[in-house]
Amino acid sequence: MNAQVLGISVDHVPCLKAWADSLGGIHFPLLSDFWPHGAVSQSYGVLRTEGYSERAIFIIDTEGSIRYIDVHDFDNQPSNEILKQELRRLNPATSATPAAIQPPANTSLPHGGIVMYCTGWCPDCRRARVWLKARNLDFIEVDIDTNPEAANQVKQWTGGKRITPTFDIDGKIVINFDEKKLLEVLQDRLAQST
Amino acid sequence: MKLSIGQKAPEFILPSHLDTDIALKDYRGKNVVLVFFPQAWTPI
Repeated sequence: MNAQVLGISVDHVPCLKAWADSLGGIHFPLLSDFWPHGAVSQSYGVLRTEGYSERAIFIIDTEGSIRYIDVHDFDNQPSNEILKQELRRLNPATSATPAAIQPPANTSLPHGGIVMYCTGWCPDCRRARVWLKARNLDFIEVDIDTNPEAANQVKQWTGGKRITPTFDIDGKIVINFDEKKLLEVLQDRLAQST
Repeated sequence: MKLSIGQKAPEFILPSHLDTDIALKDYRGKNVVLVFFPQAWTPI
């Protein structure tokens, strides 16, 4: 998708760097609206009186015009699906290809490689673990029972259901232990590991 | 200032955690998803 994600906060650069490092690196730029304090946030109308910004998303089109505005409740995270839809609307030519960007709502969740959202008890998760290990594929597990953010993420992908396992494989989402689909998505890795 | 859909997005140049300055106008020809978040160490 022809889109660039930019994060922006009133933090200063060293703080953003430390934070990005703590998350294992963030591949899109995090901008520092630190000095003059919050000036850009203010120009977008999202600076709070406390001195930091709202959670807000603006989609700006190729000509520099605003096409979508969403200011969130503080605790409410933006939905990736809505963002993807908006981008598809702007970019119908690319709508057939899967989303190339991992939208920004969940950078504290692991991303990159094989990430399996699961629970400790679900039988399909157990089968998936065995299946992946049998193929020498490394993966990261995120337990949605103990991580509410992960549970929300899964619900966003599945349309509201806590389906496990759900996989995020370099941004490609596979819902359920769907062997056929996994084989398709993992084709290249499997070719390398054998 | 309250923005609305269809308006030009306010231009900016800001330093980033990647050690480069980022200007909005560098991304003409691309769609930009601009995500404001309150503070580092909170989920964006």
